[in-house]
Amino acid sequence: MYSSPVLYDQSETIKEKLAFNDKRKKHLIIYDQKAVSDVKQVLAKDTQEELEYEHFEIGDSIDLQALRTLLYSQKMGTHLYIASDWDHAAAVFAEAIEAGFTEDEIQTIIYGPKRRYIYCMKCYQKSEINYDDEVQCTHCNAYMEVGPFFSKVRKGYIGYPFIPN
Amino acid sequence: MRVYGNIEMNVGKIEQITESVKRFYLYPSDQKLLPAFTGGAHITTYVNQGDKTLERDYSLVSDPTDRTHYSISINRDPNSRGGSVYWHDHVKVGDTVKTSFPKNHFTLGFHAKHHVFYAAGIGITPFLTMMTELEAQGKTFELHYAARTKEQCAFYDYLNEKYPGKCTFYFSRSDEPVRMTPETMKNQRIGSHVYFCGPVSMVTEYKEAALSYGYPEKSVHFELFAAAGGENNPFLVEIVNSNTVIEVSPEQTLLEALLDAGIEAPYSCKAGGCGQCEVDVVAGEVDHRDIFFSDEERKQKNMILTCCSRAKEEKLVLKI
Repeated sequence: MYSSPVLYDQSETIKEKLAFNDKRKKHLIIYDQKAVSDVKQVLAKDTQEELEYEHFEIGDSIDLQALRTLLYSQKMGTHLYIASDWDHAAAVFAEAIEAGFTEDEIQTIIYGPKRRYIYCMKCYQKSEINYDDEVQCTHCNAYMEVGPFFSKVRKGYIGYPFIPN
Repeated sequence: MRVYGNIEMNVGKIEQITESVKRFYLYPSDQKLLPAFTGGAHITTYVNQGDKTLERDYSLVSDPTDRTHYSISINRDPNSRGGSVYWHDHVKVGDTVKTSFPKNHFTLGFHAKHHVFYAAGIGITPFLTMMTELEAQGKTFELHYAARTKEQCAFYDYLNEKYPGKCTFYFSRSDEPVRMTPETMKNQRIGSHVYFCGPVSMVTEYKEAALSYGYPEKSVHFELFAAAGGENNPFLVEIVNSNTVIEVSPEQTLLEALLDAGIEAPYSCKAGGCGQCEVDVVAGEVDHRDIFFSDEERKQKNMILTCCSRAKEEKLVLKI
């Protein structure tokens, strides 16, 4: 959907470590190779508490058909945990939103750096950026101040162009 | 174009839907197009009864795309405050009434992938326009509808004909009684939103069940007919910014006492469901009777919904 939530570096779904949400009846964990040992450790500990859970391991790449089948078969009361690097998490997050999960039903644990994007208000293109307050558009080279607002529609922080001194 | 105030309407037609439910068709006196509305909307009606005006909220049941008239369906309830009885017994074709612009505190979940409606009795009314809207958009939904008998089930034939396979009816006083239960919420697909409309006890039961099944609060929507009951003690209310002290009798709600005293207190649903009448509490303990605030909000905020909640002790100090 046009204004559907997207994963960004300040997403309320991002947590430091995996912690089961006790308001939900079922826990679905999707993880990649970077998170495999942490996830197995948590599962070994928490399965003793008789939680209902299901998990899906991402290999070298995501099997999209299998992922979609899994996500679309879920019932209300399921909480989704995504434990992976940024690119895998962003892909799974987008598929989960499309399947019907809301941000309240997703927890994301990122392994490695998070990606940030800016939407240039001069050339209307998106560029990947670091954590600097001022950046340069990779498309039109305009200098931009990184705005505080993240646009779910444009999938980036709003970049305000300025003329440098 | 209409921009403010109320709308004068003529009662153009009255249909007997069931033994206790009538549908009133209201046409604007000036014959201009009426304001548009969305599924789940309601209007406030103002009917003169002698020297007083009866003010009641009713869900719109006419097609949201038809702006030539509004229609409302009213269940005659002799145990209510008298509005429905007056509409049934005294309002005739050709009478003039006033209505507000449409308001909507019971909107469809924008991001929902599937909509599940639970209606008890006349609680079916807001769902009629919601289903019309969803059907037009090609979105999926289902209705669970409880009534005493098939004969007392308003819009039974209409629903069966218009939405075949999407409606499940539960008749508690038929030869083979079937009770509607919250269990049907358990196996709904991810992305479902649930909606409840009926008496406070039903809405409370279904809301609690949905949360216990793991539904996020934002996926749970409800509308109430009336505020929850309870023992009504008299108490005093001091309005700190106008230096006024008002007595609230056991027969009055706090909102009624404020309005009678000439204070322009905000309100809308008068049933503790919409939050429009929220007012700051400066001192005193509140007996919360709404289902609008969560337990957490009640702890964090010093607020009261004046339409239904009261003072736990002798006095409340409010800032309006």
